[in-house]
Amino acid sequence: MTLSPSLVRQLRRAVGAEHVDTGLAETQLFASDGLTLHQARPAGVVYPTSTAEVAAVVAACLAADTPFVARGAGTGLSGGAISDGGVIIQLSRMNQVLDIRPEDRYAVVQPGVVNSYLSLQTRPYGLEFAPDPSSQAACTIGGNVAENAGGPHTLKQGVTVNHVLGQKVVLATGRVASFGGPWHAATGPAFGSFLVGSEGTIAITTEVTVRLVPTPAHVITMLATYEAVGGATDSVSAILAAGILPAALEFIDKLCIQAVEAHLKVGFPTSAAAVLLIELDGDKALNSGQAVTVEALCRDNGASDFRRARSAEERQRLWLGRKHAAGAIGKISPAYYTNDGVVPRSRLTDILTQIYRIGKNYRLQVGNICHAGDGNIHPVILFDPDTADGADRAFACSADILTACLEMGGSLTGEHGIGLEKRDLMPRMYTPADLEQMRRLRDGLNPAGLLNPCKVLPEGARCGEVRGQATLPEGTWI
Amino acid sequence: MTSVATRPGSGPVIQPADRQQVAEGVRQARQTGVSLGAPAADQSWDFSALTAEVLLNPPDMILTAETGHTLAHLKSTAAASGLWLPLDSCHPGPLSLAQYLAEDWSLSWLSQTYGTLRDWVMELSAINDRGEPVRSGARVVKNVAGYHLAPLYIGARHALGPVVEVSLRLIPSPAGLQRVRWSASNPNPLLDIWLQSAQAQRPEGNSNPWVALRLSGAGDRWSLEGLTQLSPDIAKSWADATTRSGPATVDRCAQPADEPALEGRPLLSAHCLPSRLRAVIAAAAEQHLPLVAYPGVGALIVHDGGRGESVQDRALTAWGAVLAAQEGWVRPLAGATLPAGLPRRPDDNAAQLAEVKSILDPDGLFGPMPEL
Ligand SMILES: Cc1cc2nc3c(=O)[nH]c(=O)nc-3n(C[C@H](O)[C@H](O)[C@H](O)COP(=O)(O)OP(=O)(O)OC[C@H]3O[C@@H](n4cnc5c(N)ncnc54)[C@H](O)[C@@H]3O)c2cc1C
Repeated sequence: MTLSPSLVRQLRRAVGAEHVDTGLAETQLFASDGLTLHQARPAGVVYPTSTAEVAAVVAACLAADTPFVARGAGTGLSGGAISDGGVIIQLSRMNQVLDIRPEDRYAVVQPGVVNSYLSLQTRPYGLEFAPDPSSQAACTIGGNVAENAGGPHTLKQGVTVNHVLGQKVVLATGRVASFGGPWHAATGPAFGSFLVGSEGTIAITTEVTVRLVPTPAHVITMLATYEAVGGATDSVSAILAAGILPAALEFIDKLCIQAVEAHLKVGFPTSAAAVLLIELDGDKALNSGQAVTVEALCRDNGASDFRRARSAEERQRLWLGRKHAAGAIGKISPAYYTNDGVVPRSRLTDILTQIYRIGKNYRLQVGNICHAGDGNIHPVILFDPDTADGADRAFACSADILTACLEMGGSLTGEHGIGLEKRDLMPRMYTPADLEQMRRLRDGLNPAGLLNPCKVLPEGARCGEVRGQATLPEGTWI
Repeated sequence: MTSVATRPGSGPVIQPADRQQVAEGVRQARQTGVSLGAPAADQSWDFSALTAEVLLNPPDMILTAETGHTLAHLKSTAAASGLWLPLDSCHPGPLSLAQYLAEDWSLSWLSQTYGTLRDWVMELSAINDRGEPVRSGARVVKNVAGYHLAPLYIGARHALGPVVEVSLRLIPSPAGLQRVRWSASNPNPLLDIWLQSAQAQRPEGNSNPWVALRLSGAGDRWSLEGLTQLSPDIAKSWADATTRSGPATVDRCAQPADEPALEGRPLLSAHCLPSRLRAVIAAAAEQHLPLVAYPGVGALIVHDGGRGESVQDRALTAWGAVLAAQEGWVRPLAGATLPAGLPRRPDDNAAQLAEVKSILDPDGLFGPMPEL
């Protein structure tokens, strides 16, 4: 698990000696992403600042037959940004917003720009980058592109791929290439769009041109409270069936509500079985009319309380609660496993019922947050890592939940990606021919197999198991 | 069994009755060494019989259809359930999904708000070069499981393999739409209306008043028309206030209206930045090139105005020089042969797609990739 001296020399030449780390303690920091259940320590970490430096690092790794993995903020939740003995290309120093063109509604950014920082920069022009993952205060645009990230507001605005106009990349072969540009709505086959969501296994993004959308001039945020989960999920169907496309339509269940309130006190009703956070944006007159309809539909479907945020602060607090709902679980449980699956919207009630049942089977508590309008569920599985089979039961519980999603016609993931986490479940979703077609493409475009290996597609014996804790030699300083 | 018909003046056309026959056709072609596809292949496809029942469970807001169905049929199927497929085309004449997808005809007056076809395809099923069905994506409105191959297949004229089925995301049909239309003898006042609507003059509380918008014309007959969701009185007063070319026509429409069809044969689509579109349109007007422009996305389609001879290579080349100076580029449509001087897409897309083609169709079974 050490890099060859000649590779270290090449890496130092590429990015400067002070921007190459090979020490145990420094590399251990990169042994997991947001999903700490998978751990693998890289042998080196480099911190480039430009496309040319990334290309030089890639060339050095290819020549030394050493795996390399791009990394943004490491908030990924599928074990995608880790490397067992390879080189992590940490892009946090490539954090510049290079250009903002309000008249043409685009911005050019380096991949290490933090998601919410970009919108902070564009807001003075009345514009924003629409994808808003709950991790937006930390995650990077490069990571968003690699994972095709979503978020609460992607119900109306679409996910990252709908907002990427162009990219500059270093391909797995080391060649620098650009795809797309500042042009909107270019039609025809688009390699750049295929790259979005390819989980950093085909290319490393070094520059992104993103579409900016107008900041909504008028917003209404509402909170509906339910004594039964089914009332909340039925309300979701009723709202969409009424021809209303809210900006966001989010579901939070009792366990997560209680965790949020214990931690942040945003004003969620702790006795409720579930709440729906509903946001409308756009034309003021239209919104006002739709808000009345939404309230009536929620009450018809069993909402015991319904309120509108009366101020920007109140709205912010509600969103704070939603965006920190998974993290708040950390306050009430020693460990938790945030999952991600999708079901057809009409199966939301069914999948939640199944999740509670599956949790019970494994003697685990499961809280739920859903991008309900998208049928995208995030069960949060609470477990104790200090019990002998705590993590194993959490993994098995997760696999059962995802299998239930597939049986309902859904998907293994709506936004967190496959990574290492769900790699071995892919044959449950796709046929051997489907997977072979994907593999031909991935292997053809990543011929040395060194860029982010062992992710996305099941690999059999070729890739080792990296579940569990990576242990440091005793006495190591960290 | 796959039936083979012959169209007058062209090579054999394969008309599979179902997906199994598409796969069988590919396997046969593989054995006999003929190439399949359009237009330069030995044989071409006619998917009009691929019309198994459209699958739509309205609450799921996802529609699955074989590619023989027409776009119009899919839109009306969605509309019957109060849903909308916000894709359109100015292509003259009805299009099957296979044709729509083969060329990617989805640049339309809806693009500024709803993007293009690749923004709506959630699952795509094709036949690979081994004659096996392959699928990527899922029949849900959000999914990132595995590699999403749809962006490679859309617009590739089935050159990576015939596309036999897609699942499309739908949204609720927008309520209270108005159709607004202005006319003028030159494009400038119409572009002013668009600019004002996009900036200072937008009605209070509305960030983007347009659901759809296009500017079209040639010579001294131009019009700007679109769909807006504003309440009727706001739409009327705003339209009147923003126009210098006389009051607008405002009509209520119960359902989103389709984009008017081109009155000619499309030759190319062109892309520049929205802020450069005025200069590009002015140059087209000077050369009497008939066009449809989509101001919000800085794109336009040049057509032949219904008379092939009205568009001279000389005029296209002169206009192309202005487009190039404005950092724009063109994409030939429907196999049109364009003069060499027109600027082409300045990125590495075509080279990389050639690589994809060599990976997924190493024997060139499916005919060449279209020129991009
Ligand atoms: C509390 C919490 C909430 C979250 N909420 C959401 C949510 O609402 N929606 C959502 O979609 N996700 C969410 N996530 C998951 C995660 O934040 C996203 O996947 C995010 O896009 C990852 O960005 P990152 O910069 O942290 O990437 P990393 O974790 O560093 O990397 C993720 C993957 O992208 C690759 N990658 C990173 N940068 C590049 C690059 N420049 N070029 C090529 N490949 C690259 C890596 O190799 C890896 O495979 C959440 C995570 C947490 C911890």
